[in-house]
Amino acid sequence: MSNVIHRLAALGVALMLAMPVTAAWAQPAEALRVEYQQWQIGRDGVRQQMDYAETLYREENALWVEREIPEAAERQHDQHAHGGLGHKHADVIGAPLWIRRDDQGGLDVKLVDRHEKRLIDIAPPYYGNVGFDGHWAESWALADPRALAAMQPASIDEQGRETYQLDRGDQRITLVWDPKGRYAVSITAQGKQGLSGRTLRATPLAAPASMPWQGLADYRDRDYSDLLD
Amino acid sequence: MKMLKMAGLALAVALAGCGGDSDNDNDVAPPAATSKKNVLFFLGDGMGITTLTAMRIYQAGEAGSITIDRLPESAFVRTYSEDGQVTDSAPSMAAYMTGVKMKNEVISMSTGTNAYAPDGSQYVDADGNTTCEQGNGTPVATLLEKMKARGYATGVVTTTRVTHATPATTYAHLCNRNGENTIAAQMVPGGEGYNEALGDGIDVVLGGGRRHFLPNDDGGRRTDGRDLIAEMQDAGYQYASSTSELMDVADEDRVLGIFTSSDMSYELDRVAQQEPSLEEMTGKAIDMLHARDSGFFLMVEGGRIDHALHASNAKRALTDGIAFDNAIAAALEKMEDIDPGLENTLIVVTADHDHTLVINGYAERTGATSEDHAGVLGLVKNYANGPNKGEPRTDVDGNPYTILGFGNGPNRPDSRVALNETTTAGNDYLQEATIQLSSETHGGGDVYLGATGMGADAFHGVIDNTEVFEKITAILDLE
Repeated sequence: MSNVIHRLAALGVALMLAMPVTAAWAQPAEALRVEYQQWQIGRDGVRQQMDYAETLYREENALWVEREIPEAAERQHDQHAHGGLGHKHADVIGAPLWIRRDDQGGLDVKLVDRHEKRLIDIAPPYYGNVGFDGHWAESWALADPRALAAMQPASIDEQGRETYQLDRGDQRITLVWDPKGRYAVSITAQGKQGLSGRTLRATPLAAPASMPWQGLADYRDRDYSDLLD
Repeated sequence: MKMLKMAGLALAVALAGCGGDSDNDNDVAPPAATSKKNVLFFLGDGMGITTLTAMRIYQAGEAGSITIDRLPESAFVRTYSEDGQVTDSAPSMAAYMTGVKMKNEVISMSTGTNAYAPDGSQYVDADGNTTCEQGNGTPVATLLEKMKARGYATGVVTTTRVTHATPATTYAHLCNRNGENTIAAQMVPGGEGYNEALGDGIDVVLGGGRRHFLPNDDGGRRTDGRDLIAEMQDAGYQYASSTSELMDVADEDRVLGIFTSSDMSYELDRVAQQEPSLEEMTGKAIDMLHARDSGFFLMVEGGRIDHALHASNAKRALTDGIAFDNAIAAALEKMEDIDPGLENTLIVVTADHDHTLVINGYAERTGATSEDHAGVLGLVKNYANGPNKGEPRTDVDGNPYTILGFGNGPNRPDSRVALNETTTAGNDYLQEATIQLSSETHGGGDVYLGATGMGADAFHGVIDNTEVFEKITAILDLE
């Protein structure tokens, strides 16, 4: 979970566009690879950059967000002790997030701990602790499509992808929307002074044979507060 | 299950005064209290001194006072455990309740008891059942047990699960705090695994944690099929699962009030009809315990101050802290009515350990927080006269930073960004941390203790947490 704030920070690009949830869907892309990048040049002239990627699995009312973790880092993680109930400071770094939406728009958020075979229920006060901002549409589609109306349409390419722009404060935001796949292909937010920027790029993946939330029947239900002492 | 039975038996042997039988029907009248003294022990979980200061500023401004500030006697308390410079809630509260230093995660057992096996695994299974081995320590008597044995009424009130470490140390004994199914069973008079040292049982138990009282096929986590709520009812307890049900319980009855499956909600999220406030629970507990006319011991825990701090969510920590302070204020008022001048009533307020919360400099005074004023939840702003007075101070890259921060926690961005007070005063904002951890840890600073009433002037200077127990037992002449 150590990088949960990264997830939030990058999604902040989408949040800047946030508007209330939404709308009827059809035939969405079932799986996406999303690359995030954020950079900043400090007063000392040092450029700091952060990159990571996640895979999104999507159904109409279900979303699975899983960080790409290099095998070596995964091995290092496996070497950590996992003891018993693990009530405190349990190591769930990089654990997938499984979010479901009911007919009333209510959300059920679970952290999937594969090591301990636990589904950790995340109550709303703890959304921030697992890198979820509470916004379904922005998480599912990477941008709320209703926010597009507030942006300036710029162009449409041969594949039907729509480009929108918005100037907000010191930032220029450029968003490319795929109406067929129903996701933001890219979002770029760049400071006009060239001192900071964030980008998000999504690429569709082949639909998986089965969704990752299948096969969790033998997982134990746990609460996030179990991880606090 | 065999191990469970053995553990329960060991407790009974160690603590039963006169051959208690776990199958008895509890028809033995408790001894009469020698005098009608009262002890109210308020524990703000994780409420370190910085948290206290932030609570004061949040609620009343820098120069204001909250109830805890007004307690006339005070001391600073060392909180280290047998094996930890930084303690967890189990041995720290157990030190207050038993006068014994024990290792982290141990619930009211002798010094030397191990919570972890030599291979590093915990003595608990994945369902919350103990796997403690016989011979791994012995139970040590608690303040609640000692007062119960002398005929006092007893009560335990918390906003966490009633089986969580802090409340558990008052009535249970276990080598590892995570065995919460086992801890719950120790509370049920006449049931298997009952702690016979509780006599006919605790009179008032209020908090969360239904899941450790119900079988797993009925929404709980118990793997032994027992319904401990039904067993408590069979033992003569009224059961309350909502605010109105609690308030409807007759003061002369005994009550098990469990309002949530796990912990109770943070004060910021609480639905009043479903869950009583800590102030309401404390008031009802005092009414019920006082109705017994035998003097009483009551432990009240503001338990989720700690959880919000672990999440590095200062707003929920401070609002739960103020809810705790309100409970103290209500108790003081009620006890002054019952016992004017508190001549026979000792009220102690303290914390079990610190957290890593810090107050960054150099902020101008903010005053109290209100709906449209972030106060201590806001940004550090210049105090000095000049064109920048009242403007946010910035870090080396020119970004503002918050007044409150943490030594460690989940929010450590690789590159800091411009913050505003709408964000930082939001309910879900997580203050930034120096070291990135998945959840924030306890801190190692001393904690504050405030006291008033009978014998309160015994508390002064810098004392060890075990001395708190010694002082209270001396004041009550329990030894």
